[in-house]
Parts: sequence; structure tokens; C-alpha cells
Amino acid sequence: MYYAKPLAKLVGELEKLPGIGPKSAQRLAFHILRSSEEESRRLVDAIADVKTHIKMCPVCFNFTDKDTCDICRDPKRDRSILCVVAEPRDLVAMEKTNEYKGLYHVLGGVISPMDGVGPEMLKIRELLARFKQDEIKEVIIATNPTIEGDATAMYLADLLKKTFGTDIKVSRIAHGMPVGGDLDYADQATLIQALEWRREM
Amino acid sequence: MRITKLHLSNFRNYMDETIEPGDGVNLFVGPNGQGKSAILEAAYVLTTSKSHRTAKDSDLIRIGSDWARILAEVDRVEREEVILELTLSRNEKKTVRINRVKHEKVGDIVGQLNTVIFSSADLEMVKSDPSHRRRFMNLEISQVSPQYIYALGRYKRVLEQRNSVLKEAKFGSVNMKALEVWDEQLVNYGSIMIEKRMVFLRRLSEMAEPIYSRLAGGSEVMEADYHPSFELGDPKSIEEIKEIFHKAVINARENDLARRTTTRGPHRDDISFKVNGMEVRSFGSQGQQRSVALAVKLAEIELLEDMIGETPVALLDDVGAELDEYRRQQVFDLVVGRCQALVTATSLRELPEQVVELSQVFNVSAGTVEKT
Repeated sequence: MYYAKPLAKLVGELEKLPGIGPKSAQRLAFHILRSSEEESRRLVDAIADVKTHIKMCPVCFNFTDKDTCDICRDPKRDRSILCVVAEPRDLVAMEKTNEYKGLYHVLGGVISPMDGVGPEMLKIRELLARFKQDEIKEVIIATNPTIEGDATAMYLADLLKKTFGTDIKVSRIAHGMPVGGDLDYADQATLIQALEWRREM
Repeated sequence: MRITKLHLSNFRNYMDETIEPGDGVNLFVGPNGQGKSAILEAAYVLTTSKSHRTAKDSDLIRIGSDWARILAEVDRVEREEVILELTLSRNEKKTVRINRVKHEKVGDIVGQLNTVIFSSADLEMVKSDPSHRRRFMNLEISQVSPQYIYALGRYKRVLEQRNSVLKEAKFGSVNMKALEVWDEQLVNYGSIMIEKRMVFLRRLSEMAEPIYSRLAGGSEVMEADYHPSFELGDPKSIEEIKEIFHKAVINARENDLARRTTTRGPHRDDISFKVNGMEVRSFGSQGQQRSVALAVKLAEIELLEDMIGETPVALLDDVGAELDEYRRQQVFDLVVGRCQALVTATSLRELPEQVVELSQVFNVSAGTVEKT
């Protein structure tokens, strides 16, 4: 046994975190051990707080500490547009643009049978239910351009068209060349996709 | 296209060796187990990012070392000179540098150095199961088409996902919608592969035919036909391929569900090599099979030359032992004066005299290479 039992326990817990290997876990554990009582107390409280106060917004399924999240309650938001994302972190990325003023819906993943994720495990029923109350006119699907993101987008687009026909406009965000990117430096897959998604001028 | 410098560090039995091949034929001579084939293998790894002799990258690292590196300077006519570098490690993922710039995807190296390898595996390609022939198509088309690499990578992943849906289906009724989203992508990426394979084989067949006649000396006619996993007919465009492929996938759905796997698509393709209309795999003699394998490889040199505008580097691994005198002569007739060639042999006597006279000879002994 290299560590005293409580220390081994901490290292073990930290190791379970994504992106943390045994070395990092050990470094973090020793750091926590050396930190002041107050500092480590703040970390403990922060973890406990997240678990007790953060829940899913029952409307869009983003994380929130309120009954309904800030975006869903914001009266200045355009309620006719809905952006569908896979994960809360994708919503954060969209928000950082400061350009998008509509509402969101977080699916909680993408369809991936290999990982046991079928469409019924995503918040798709909840998405359809939103059309009953809100005055949504347009849906922007913002899943990643991976095989799974593409499949999820196709599934949603198909479902929305079947359910609502032409009443609702459905689009997908464009993929391809990064802004300021040089054609010369783009990898081939990106260029091929940019070609696929080209638009008329 | 020429390799002007090849540097091996901890690769196979080499510690640190630099080889500077000449423009024409380069003969690597020495007893077995000294590292002759490893030189050709190194060039092949830079072509495809993988070895043709082993599936395990760790086999390529010298015993006692944690890593291995291959570096080559390649002189190209149509494009500027390039420095390729591939590093293998026992603990980390392999990495690739092109002109000293690190690339995220190892596959980016494919297409930089074009080679055609002649080895005992060629006969396998003709004789063995279809997976060998699909692998052949994938490797060769990837050398000239980045779009093919892209479609192939995506297709493999879609196939895995779709097969997962089919496997799960046994636990209850399948959600048809859940299958359909994969069908669409299967057809999209698969059709790109099918189209490229059709064009590739049509041209390869055209070029192999006269070469085969020369090898077989006379009246025999060979052809290479593409065999898709469904009735394809003679489609005129990729749109038409998509349409036919999509119908085939829909028609095979019940079968797919029963077998719990995807039964239609380029992952079930095959090539049929025929001599005088007869399937050479089942009905050909050993000699015919050898000639077909060789004709295909020689045709590949011409095809690559046609597609990239310059000759690839020919890698001839132990052709002395593999081929009879007549076929050997034919190979050298086509290669000498045309391509740079790296050739291994246990003895100079295995090779035609005129070839040896024109060649740069290197002695290979226990992981050292010496120019004579």
C-alpha cells in the first residue's frame, strides 16, 4: 500500500474522472492534501452544491439552478426559433456567439446504437411536445458533422417533416471551411465536406 | 517519383541506418533474415501508414526499443519534393510528419509516396477469400483518391452502427426509423466507394489484359470484373448507383434482420479475375494464377502513372524465389528504365545479368546496408 487509506480513497475517486490518469490523480490528491482547510472546504461545498442545486430545465433540458432555466424564461428571446443541440456544452458554444437569439433544446446525446443509445433515449418526445405550447416556426439542427450527428439530424428532420409538414422550417448548420482558414491548410475531409455543403452564389 | 533518402531508426533489426537509393534499380542482396525486406516494408509503411507483413505495429519496432522511425525524402516530378516521417511507439499512437509538420491524422500520409509492391501476398490476392481483394482495392484507390479514404472511413463506422441496430433487433421489434437513418448514410458513402472501385477496375482490367497476354505468351485473354453484392447493371452516374444501392438495401432488409448483419454494400464486394472467361480462382492453374497476379501488379504501375502523372516506386520483394525466369524477365523489362525500383534477392545470380549490370547493389547484413 503506497498511500494511507483515506488518501488512497481520494486518489481512486479522482482517477474515475474523465481525462484524469493515475499520475494526475496523485498530483491533485497531494495538492488537496496540502491546501488549507478553507480551500478544500470550498471544493467540497462546490461539488455538493452542484449536486443539490443543479437540475435539468424541464423545458429545454439544459442545466439550471432554477425551476425553468434563464434562457427559457427570458422574454427578450425569439420564441419562434428553436436550436436543437446534442449536449449542454454545445449550447454554451452557441451562446458565446451572442448572435443567436432563439430558444434551445438539448437532446442529451446523439443516436449511437454501438453505445446503446437509440432515439427513444434522447429528449425527442419532449421536443415534439414543445410545439403544442410554443409558437415555434423554425428549427435549426446543430448536431456535429459526425456519422452519429448526421444520423440524429436526419432522424429529427424526417420526424419533424412527417409530423408538421411544411408548417415548420427545418435547417441544419453548415459544415466545412473554418473562418479565416486557408484552403492550403485544410485537411482533405474538411474540404470534401465543404464541397458537399457548397451553396449557390 | 523517387526515394532519394531512406532513414531507419529502430525499425525492425535496424538501429540507425541511412540508405540513398539511385534513380534506377537498387538491389538489396544478402542471406535471409538480414533486413532486406524491411527496407521495402519501410517504404510501404510510408505509402499506406501500415505494414503489408504484419497487423501489429509493435512488430516493426526493434527489440529493446520503445519506438521506431522511418524517414524518407521523396523527389516528385509533378509535385514538390517531400519529407515523410512516421514514428511508431509501444506506448503511444503512431504519428506522422509531412515536411516536418505534424498531422493529426496518420492517414494524411497516404498518397504522398506512391509505390507498387510485388510479394508473395499477390498470389494470395488472386487465390484467397474476397477480403484480400477488397483490401487490395482499398489500398490502391486510397493512394490516388482522398475522397475514397474519407468515404471508406465513414462507411466503416456507419456499418458498425447499422449492424448494432440489427443485433439489438432480436430483443424486440426493430424501430424501422432507427434503421433507416443508417441506410441513407450507408448508401451515400458506399456509393462513392462503388463508383471509384468500378472505374479503378475497369481501367486496371484494360491495362492488365495486354500484359497478361505477353506473360502467358499467346491466346489467353484475362479480365478483371467488379462484383458488387447486388445487381448493379451499368450505372451511368453516382446518382444512379445510389438509387440502385438504396433499393438493394431496402429489399435486403428482412434478410439483414434475420442474419443480424448488413448483407449489401461494398464491404461484401469482390473482384472476379477470369482467363478465357473462366474464374481463375477456382479453375485456373497455378501458373495462370501467378500470371494474373503479376499482370495486375504491372498494370497498377501503368495505372498509377496515368493517374498521378509519374511512375510510382516499384518494390520487388524476393521475385527471384517467387517467379520463374520468364516472368522475372517480363517484370524487369517493364520496370527497368521506367521506375525507380527497390529489389531484394538472396543472390545476384537470381537476377538477369543485364539488370544487375544496370543496378546499384547494396549488401545487407545484420541490420547494416553497404553500397558496393
